[in-house]
Amino acid sequence: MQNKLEKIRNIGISAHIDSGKTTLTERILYYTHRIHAIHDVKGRDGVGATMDFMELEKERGITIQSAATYCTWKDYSVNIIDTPGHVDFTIEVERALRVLDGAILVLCAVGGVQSQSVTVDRQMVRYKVPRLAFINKCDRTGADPIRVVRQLREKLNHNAVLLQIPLGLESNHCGVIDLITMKAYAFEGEHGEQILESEIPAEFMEPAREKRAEMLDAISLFSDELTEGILEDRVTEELIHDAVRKGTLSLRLIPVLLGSAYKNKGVQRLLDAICSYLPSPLDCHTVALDLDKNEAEVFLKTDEGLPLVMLAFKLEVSRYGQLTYVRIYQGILQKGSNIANMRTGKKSKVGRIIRMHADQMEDIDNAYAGDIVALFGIECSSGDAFTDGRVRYVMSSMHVPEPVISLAIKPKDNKAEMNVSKALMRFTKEDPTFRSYLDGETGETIICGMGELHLDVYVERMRREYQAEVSTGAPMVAYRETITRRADFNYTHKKQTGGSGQFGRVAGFLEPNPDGDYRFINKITGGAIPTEFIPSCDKGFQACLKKGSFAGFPIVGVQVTINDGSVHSVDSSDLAFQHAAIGAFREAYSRAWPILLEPLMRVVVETPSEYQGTILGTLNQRRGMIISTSENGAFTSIEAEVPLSEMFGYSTVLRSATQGKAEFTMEFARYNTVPKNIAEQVIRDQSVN
Amino acid sequence: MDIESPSVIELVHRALGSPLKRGELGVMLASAGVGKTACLTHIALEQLLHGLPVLHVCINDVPEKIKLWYLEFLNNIAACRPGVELAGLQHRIEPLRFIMAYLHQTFSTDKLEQSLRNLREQTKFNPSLVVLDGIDFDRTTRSTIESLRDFAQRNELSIWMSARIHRHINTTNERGIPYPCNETDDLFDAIFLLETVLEAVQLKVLKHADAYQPKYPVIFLHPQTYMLQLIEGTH
Repeated sequence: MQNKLEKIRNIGISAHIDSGKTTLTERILYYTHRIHAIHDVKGRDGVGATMDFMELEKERGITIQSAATYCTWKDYSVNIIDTPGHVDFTIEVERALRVLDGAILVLCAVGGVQSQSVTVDRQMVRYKVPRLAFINKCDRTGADPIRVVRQLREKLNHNAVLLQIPLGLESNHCGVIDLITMKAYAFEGEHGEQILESEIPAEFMEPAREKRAEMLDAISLFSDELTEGILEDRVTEELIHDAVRKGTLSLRLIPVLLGSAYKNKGVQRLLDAICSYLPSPLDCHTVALDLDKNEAEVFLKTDEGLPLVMLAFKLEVSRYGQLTYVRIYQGILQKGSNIANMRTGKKSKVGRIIRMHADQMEDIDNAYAGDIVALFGIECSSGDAFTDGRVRYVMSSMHVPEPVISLAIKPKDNKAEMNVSKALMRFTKEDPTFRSYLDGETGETIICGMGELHLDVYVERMRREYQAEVSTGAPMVAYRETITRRADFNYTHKKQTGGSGQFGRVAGFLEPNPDGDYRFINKITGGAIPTEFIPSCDKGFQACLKKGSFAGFPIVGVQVTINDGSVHSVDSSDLAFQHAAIGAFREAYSRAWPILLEPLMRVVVETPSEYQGTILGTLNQRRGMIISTSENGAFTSIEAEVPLSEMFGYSTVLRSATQGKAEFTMEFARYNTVPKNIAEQVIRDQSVN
Repeated sequence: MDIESPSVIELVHRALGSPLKRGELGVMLASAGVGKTACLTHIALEQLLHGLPVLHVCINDVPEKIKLWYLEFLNNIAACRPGVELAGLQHRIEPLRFIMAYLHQTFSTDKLEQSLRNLREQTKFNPSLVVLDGIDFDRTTRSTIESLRDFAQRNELSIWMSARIHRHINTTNERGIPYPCNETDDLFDAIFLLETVLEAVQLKVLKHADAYQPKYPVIFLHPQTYMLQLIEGTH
């Protein structure tokens, strides 16, 4: 078992869009004999790469949903999660990172470290994922892997160390020089399957020696044995591998490999590095929370004799029903056994256990700690934890951002209406950042998400997968209201209109809560309001938060304290105190100086330096606060905070301003006060709607 | 020591605040790792907290690192002043601060001037102070410093720069100014020297206005927070 676990690698491949990660995955699957033909991502042959199995992804040439796939390299089992490259889908990336033990950061040898790579890298840092870097596209004109390594050091602050140097660049790229073995490797044959090992050509000897010395210097920090070996001039390959592995696992070293997946160069050496340097499940320490012990932390062990603990990290609909991807952290999962969902308490029987290879499947009977497999017939949501019922553990909650944009959708006919509700039920289960609700006032269905592209993709999926034609309204920004000062209340709800009356008095105050949440504080003494009515007061206040009277948006960041009240022995009831709380909140709210908040996005534009002035102008016109610029050779990266409401259509503006040479990424930063004149306009628009 | 006495406040302001008038150049000399960047960030913060816009230029360093310095110092300020919140301080300074990075030897005075012009025209950002951190003085000629001085005068702003001194180079001119500013000291209106002394960082004024080695007291800064620790020789 121990031996088996040591040979498992659960890895993700993440990177900037178009840096070639899907092509790389495709090549990995080819060399590991999981597929027998190679297709392009952009589908020139009409088939498309294997991991991009959703039709929409095939059309756009991008990866939206991460698919898990299994392959073997030498005597190692490798589970690969292909992750999306666009910031709008970061929840997909983050969910994938949660269950991974290691990752490959794919970088383009021409584009280098771009804004998306920075975002993805930040997520990897958050989940403490050890990683390798693979500098792809060394065959492209302008390829400069040394510059990319420098960017890894400067932009991402990584201790990036080259383990290889390219054997020729651009059109001359034919392989790599390994600085550990000090041999040259060329990749020949139709699909690069023949690896020719040879001595380093004379013209590459000097740079290879220089880079090897740099490499040894950098990695010797992680191994005293290697330091001694260097001093005594007896450096072995094992000593180097050991030091690189130690450095990588400690997150203090990023080994860098090179190649061109498209031209079939360097991929097999990358597979070797995955097995040698990335962690096995034994190297990872996973913590769960014990529900029976007030969510005390428990370290999970990969022992198969211990109770089963696993996490559902992804749901998909397949031809045969819902497919749930799970990562097993402890114990053994057996076909036919019972498992319990820790969130719902519901028990289910394990029907089929599947190893996934993109959209092809292989049935298995057992899966062990460290495995990533898929299950059929399990009702759950993404992020749910399962056990075999012997323990009640949940995995630590994942950080799920609140949606910042919404869109009204209208089915075009009755058939579409049925399918839309099916689709929405599915999407909201699959993706926690995607939400939907029915607007009680307008009767419209509203979908909410993390960006324009995020919602666009779901609308498109409704059309394609559920044959649901929908028309969409203009995107709407998720504004919020909050208060800026304390306001007291003392409200009596009294009603005597025949039958039993209603009476309740609540007194206290509202005040801003800087952490942005709602908080209810009960300071009633002497039974002025009986304990059984306190939850009713809380409920009444919470009801008011759904729609503020200032502009009609949800209210955030309010702390309500009640400190006095009155009760009537006959006429007081739950309902009366709810009404009293609602009246009290309304009375105080307008005196608490409410303001409007809007989502502020962190926008990073990568542009050729000559367009710097133009870009600054476009961001400034959008009420952007420009935070910094970084000039790096011919490119400048501009970072700004811009209100989301101003960012609609920015990609078109950017394209036309820079002849399509600039690109940008955007992610939610925080909520910020809307300037008075803009707030007035928003309130006017809201009242018209 | 009474740090409330006006002379001391004045001195701290002179030393760490704004001893430069518009159009003037100042330099902070220190060996590697003593705290040039930290001190320059303090100078910038002092201006920002007085509501004056600052352009912070870092050479061969990324803006993220500089932002961390600001955050650290703002945290310190918030921690030692009851009622002052970090978020409020950030909110106050961020609209006034702009960080500009030049990586991989891409810096030149012309580029800086062009970028400043872009900022002024496109965003109306008009700094009164430019902090220029990370210039390699070993490779900087007199004409570069002259061009920076001209730039400061044309744009009516002051510039604070950092310069690294080397432990193995002991060259000092007759006015007491060490390498690498020993041949260009006439171009600077303020020259400060930072040194590690026992458990503190000592700040000495080597030149201010036209006076060399002025009789200002020596200031000791806390080695972690770079906040005032002690002033010696107060009159």
